[in-house]
Amino acid sequence: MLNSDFNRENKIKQLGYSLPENYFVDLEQEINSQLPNSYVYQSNNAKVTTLFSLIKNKLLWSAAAVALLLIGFFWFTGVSDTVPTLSNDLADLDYLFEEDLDTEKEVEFTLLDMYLAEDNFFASDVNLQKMWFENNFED
Amino acid sequence: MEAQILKLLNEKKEATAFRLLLKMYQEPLYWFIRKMVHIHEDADDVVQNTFLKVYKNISSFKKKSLLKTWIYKIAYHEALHFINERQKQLRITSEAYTSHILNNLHTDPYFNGSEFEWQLQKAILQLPEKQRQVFQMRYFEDLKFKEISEITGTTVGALKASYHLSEKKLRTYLIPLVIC
Repeated sequence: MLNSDFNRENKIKQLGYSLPENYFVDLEQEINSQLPNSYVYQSNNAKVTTLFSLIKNKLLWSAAAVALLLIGFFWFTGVSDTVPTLSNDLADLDYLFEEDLDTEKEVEFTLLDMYLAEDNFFASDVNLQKMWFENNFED
Repeated sequence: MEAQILKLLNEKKEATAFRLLLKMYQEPLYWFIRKMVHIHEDADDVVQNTFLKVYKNISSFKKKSLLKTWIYKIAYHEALHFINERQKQLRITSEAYTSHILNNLHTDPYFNGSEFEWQLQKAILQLPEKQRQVFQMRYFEDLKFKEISEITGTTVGALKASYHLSEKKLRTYLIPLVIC
């Protein structure tokens, strides 16, 4: 067991949480049972259907082309002005959590303001405060 | 094992990669989520949704970040989404939601903490949402500030400030209890 795992487990005990018996075995089974059949790994070496095979599907490509045309049309007609754009570093998840990520950006600024307002220590200079934290709380 | 999962992903063996990933991350991810939503039943729902999202999107993982960070990021947003939805459903503010959680935690059959553990839970729940998340990720999960920054989308400086304040507040709340 890794040292960090050991630390984590000990600290979790401080929270008083417990679990049903064999929970993680059941959880694994439950998640596997919810996977679409087409994706299920077959241990007898039978052919596995993956997303890749769907990519080869011409019908899907046609639908994608139509969707792109529609998006392009709305873009040029200005409908997309209200759609938030996401930075590149969030690209991995932009299709999943557009709303949440956008909220997060707002939180980032308001929280800093909140911290500054909360302690007199932070009253004067934001750059000095940042430097202080960099120097005192390095990983 | 992470390298093995990435190798399988490169070979387009997504289903096998997911099996390994599930084995590797189900336990740490469950505890990560449990500390955000507190109640076992809720954590169970969120962890399942998280893995289904991971599964559906694993083939489009762009390797711009570590796999671990990518998965935790999904779990973090999935848990936040759950909390927001629950608040909307109950039509209550975040403060009222904290009381709601404390009440439910007391009756949760999978919480059997001592008096001190109960007080620690209460203290953590009284922190502002973001400070609470940062404290839990840093203290309980031993995640580095850089990793938390990638997961939450918050700057490292703001996270350090947040952690510092949360630690100070918890000390203030807990020390009198320990001394008594």
